[in-house]
Amino acid sequence: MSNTLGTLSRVIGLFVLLLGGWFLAVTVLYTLVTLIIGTNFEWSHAGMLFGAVVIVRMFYPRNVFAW
Amino acid sequence: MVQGKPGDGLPRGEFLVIRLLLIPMVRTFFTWHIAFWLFKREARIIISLLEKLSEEERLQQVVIDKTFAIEDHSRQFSLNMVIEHLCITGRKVTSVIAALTEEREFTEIVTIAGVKPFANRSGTLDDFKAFIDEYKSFFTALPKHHSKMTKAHPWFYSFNNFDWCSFMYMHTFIHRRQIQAIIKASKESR
Repeated sequence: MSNTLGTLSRVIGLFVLLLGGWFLAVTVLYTLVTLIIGTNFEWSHAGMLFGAVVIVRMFYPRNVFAW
Repeated sequence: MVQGKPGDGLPRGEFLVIRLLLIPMVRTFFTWHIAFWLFKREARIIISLLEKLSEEERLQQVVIDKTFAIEDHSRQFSLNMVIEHLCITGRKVTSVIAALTEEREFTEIVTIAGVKPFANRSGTLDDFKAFIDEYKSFFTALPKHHSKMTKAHPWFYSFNNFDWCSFMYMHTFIHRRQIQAIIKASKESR
């Protein structure tokens, strides 16, 4: 494998791990909330919350596409 | 042996991947502490790679194949030259982060040519270790808020203090891959 491909595969791996980490953090928080207020855990809700967190992160504290 | 000029830049494809994909993703998924933790990890890997080699091996200049996000001029560096570049850039970026965090304008013009190593010299590994300790102390004391003030990277966006902090990791990672390419090329040339 060339050095460039090795670098790119590590970058992709890093972002997969980061996505997983953020999803895990959101899911843990969501699980705690469902336990505290006594509602059912829904994976679709966890997914929607994760999407919302990613969208918020893209525009706050700074628009990630700003240059 | 010289290939390209300092500051020639990256191929268009790499430039666009970094600008349109990598930087927005870093800004979305990194936090201050993720960037710092990853930076420390890269520094540890670099130190462990270089400590296994003699000073003579660290001074050997070899031409490596094209590596991601490294401009052609830097493909003929020795390991000590890469380390010197990391120290020069790291200290410059630290000054930029400090200024931006205080919402001060960083007026000095930053160029790629200006952060290239001055010479292929000995003793850069000790300087690198000293720089890592300096940066750790600096980061620990740094107020972690996004600055409104920005300083443009010569190739990419106008970065704020957080962007520069994330850049410290990405830059060190890219050069760690260059270091691995140099070590591999040196072994093959023997």
